[in-house]
Amino acid sequence: MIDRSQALLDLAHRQLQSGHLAGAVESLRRLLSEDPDDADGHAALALTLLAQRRLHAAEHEARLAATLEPEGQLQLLALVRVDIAARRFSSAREHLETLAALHPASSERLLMAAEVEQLSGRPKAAKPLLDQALELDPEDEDAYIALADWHLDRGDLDRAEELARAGLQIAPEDSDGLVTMGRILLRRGRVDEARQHAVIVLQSDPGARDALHLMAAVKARKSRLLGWWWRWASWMGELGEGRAIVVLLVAYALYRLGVIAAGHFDHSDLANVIQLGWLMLVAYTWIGPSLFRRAVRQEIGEVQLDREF
Amino acid sequence: MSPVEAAGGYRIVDEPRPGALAQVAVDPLWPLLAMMLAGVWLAWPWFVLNGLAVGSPTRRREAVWAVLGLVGAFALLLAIAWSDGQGLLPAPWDQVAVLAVVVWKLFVSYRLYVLQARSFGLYEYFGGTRRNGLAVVVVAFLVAPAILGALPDFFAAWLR
Repeated sequence: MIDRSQALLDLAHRQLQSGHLAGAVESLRRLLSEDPDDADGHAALALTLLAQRRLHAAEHEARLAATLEPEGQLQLLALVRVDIAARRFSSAREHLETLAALHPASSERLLMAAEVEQLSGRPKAAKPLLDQALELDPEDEDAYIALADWHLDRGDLDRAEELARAGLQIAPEDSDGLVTMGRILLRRGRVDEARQHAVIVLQSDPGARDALHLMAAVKARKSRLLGWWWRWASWMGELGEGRAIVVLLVAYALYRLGVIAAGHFDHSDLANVIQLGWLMLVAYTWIGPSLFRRAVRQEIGEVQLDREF
Repeated sequence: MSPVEAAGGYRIVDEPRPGALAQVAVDPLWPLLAMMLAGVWLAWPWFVLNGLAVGSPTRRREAVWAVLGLVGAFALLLAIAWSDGQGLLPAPWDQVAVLAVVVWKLFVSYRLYVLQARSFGLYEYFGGTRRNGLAVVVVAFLVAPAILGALPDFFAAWLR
């Protein structure tokens, strides 16, 4: 049973690494059907469901895993990942502290702690953690890439490129490293080279979300009109569904208030202009996604899959 | 064998459990459009029915939101009617007050849509069938003025 469970876990891990999320879910489903108390299975399923953006189910699985094995490294990592996805940073810090006490020498923990600090708006606190992670394991490409991302977000492109190159020297096919390098090149205005980096990742993993995101950013850079929509959609995506609804409703309320105020003060021409502007905005945001999707699909359609895919 | 049956074994908590009503399941976009073109009298009960049809794991939350939406809209309209009776809402504040009701209804409808869209995505992924809700929306759009027109103004504004 143990061998079979381990085999299924390994299979799920490989499927997760290669972006075959549905396959990973089915492997873990088989594992848990045979052994519903496998804590590693529940934790791995939580991480896979998170990758599928199924936060509610991921949280359920992570809690089950932690109940079965409260001090397990994978179980605690799954809890932290869920907390990060749910933007519960204080809870993530608590779990990271437990993790630090039980498993002190873990660069993965330090990278996650840095991620928590960055997402909670404390990028300065993230830097020492990233440095520590690199110190702990100087051959960890993830630490180099995370540091490159940190410098990229601060606009220090030279240092970011240096670190990304160091990471890619250790793992030349690392998809995160290639995407980060693509983002750096895009910021430098080297659009075609950035596109090439997205293509390399997509050749071996057509579902790689970050690479698709980079490809879309490249497309947005090429077309200004669609680029506006892309930036708006990216911003709304970062807000999360709940806040995005509130932003849309505030925009709608402001539009209606504008029309009411213009009408009240006998500026019917202004009211008409506001109505027309709103109508154009609605049409643009209605048509924009399909035009953008088509353009990106065309771009992705030209990607030749790797022979080993 | 459907993919739902094929999945078998361990069930993940957010996976839909479609029942006998699955044959009337629609994309939640249709109830959302029904809210815009006909009113909440159709849209919110439709969301609740669709949640049951899809076997949405959040169907209770969806039902709670629908009830909350109706209660909230009723309370807002009651407050507006009272303020208007007291002469507290001169133009254009009367229009602004009505806008608050519209925004509330839109908020609840989008909330319901977002909740149900996740379950619907999984329902479709597991091979669940769906119907086209266009005919219902078109008929509702045509009959809504007659239905709402037959009601007293307060109730028409509540259910619009």
